[in-house]
Amino acid sequence: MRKKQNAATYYKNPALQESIIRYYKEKQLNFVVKHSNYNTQIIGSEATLKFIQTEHPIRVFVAYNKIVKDLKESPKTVEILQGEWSTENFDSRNGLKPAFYKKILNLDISSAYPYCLWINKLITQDTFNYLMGMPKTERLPAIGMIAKKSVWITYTAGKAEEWELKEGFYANIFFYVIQQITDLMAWAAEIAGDSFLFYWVDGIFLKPTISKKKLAEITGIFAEQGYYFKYEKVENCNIVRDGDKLLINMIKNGQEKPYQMYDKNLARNFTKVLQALENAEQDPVFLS
Amino acid sequence: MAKKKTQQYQDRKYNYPKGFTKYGKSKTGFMPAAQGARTFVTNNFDKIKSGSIPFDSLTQREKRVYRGKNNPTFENLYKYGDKTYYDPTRTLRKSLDNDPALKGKRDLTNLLKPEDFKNLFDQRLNPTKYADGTNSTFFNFKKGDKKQFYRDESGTLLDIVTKLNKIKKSGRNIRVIDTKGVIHLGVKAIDVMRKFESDKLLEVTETAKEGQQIQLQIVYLSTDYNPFTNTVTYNLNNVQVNNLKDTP
Repeated sequence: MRKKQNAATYYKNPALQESIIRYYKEKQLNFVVKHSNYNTQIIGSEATLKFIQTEHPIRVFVAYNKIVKDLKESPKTVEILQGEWSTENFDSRNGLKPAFYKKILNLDISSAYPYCLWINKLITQDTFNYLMGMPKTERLPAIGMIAKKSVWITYTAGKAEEWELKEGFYANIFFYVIQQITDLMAWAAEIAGDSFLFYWVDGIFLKPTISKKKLAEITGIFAEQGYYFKYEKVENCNIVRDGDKLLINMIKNGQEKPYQMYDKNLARNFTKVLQALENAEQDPVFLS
Repeated sequence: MAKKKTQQYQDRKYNYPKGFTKYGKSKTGFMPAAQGARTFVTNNFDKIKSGSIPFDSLTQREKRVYRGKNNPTFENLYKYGDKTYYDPTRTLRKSLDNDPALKGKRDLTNLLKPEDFKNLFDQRLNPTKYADGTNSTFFNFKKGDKKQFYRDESGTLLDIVTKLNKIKKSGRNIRVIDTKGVIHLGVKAIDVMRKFESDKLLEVTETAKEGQQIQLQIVYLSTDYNPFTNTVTYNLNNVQVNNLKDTP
């Protein structure tokens, strides 16, 4: 039977963590250091010390376990796990100019990730209801846990001998969810055309001059795909460009909100131009 | 007797597009004539070009905007930041027009990274490769014979001096910056250009043997057009001279 270890939990303290690791190294002990998004653990032969960043209530772990249980039973899981999904969940209009907008329009999909899991039959109604009964601040970590990632560094006689990256078995499901929402945003951006400014995760930002027809088309698509959405009040939106970086500041629902993203269009445009120039060299008709 | 008044053309009344709003407020009524003409020509450029909107039906202002937009110099003039660049090879225009999102774009400030834009102009657009009658001269004759210019497949004579005389006759102003940085205008500018080319040709001819083929290409790399002053500028300090008989 495995011997029960002494365990202690502390709030994240990099200085303390480092001094403990240094002490273990000096004493030439065998131990493992595990780093993840949520905590750092120093697992020794006698004790396990856990340093946590945020203390989640037990229902977050319950929700996570419910999701994993559903994923094991969902017929779509295997297919999605085999796919490749992008995790880039932002984009801006090609050629977005620095500008200041007194008011802009923001359409946010409500509870995008739980709905996406449910619409795609990856979780049951019961799990969906459980998630929706949680506050947003707990719902997101519960779903995000399926993409948990940790690095394990094994020390033998005080020396780091090997390391291993461990990823959650269902991480690809989380990436699939991200891409589903991103695809929806990209679709809306295409409809908005010149009125599109940028999108970020599950919210799209549009010029207030967008026509009612286009807006109706966008909201129609959101509804058709089974998502609920809401309009958010956004004021004083300031877009600044620094090379290929876009720095966007705004007041959203009375609170200041900064965004920083790189403009993917610049690299895309350059590739397209180079491609066309290369084709031109091979096809003289192109130049005539 | 009252002075006869020149007949003024009348601008069209340009309505703002339906649903046009600025900062959430409806904007109704008419656009200023200059903005309206630009919007009209931009929106209907392809139709005017194809003739489905007859050129004669345009107002004077629209004709002027159309001529500007339809001008090869204009469409090869690019803006990046606060500087203007001219692509004498005209290949960038075709490459950009290949993509619907970049079609017709001339201000590339927010479309390309500064280093990529520089790379495009300095490295990728090879001016000598696509040299033409508006940016180059190409001497092609045997030493001892009468001086002749090369005529390309389309029949264009690659002789910049002849071209400049034609340009001048069409009403465009000519400006030449000589090797000492002095600016010359009009007929004098063309003379300076002719002298410059003769000197270069003389250098090559003197070293050639009697009866040897002389193929000399002079490409003016910084050819600039200012649409506001209708002036075309050639800088003799930024010239590429290719003695093609030395080229393998």
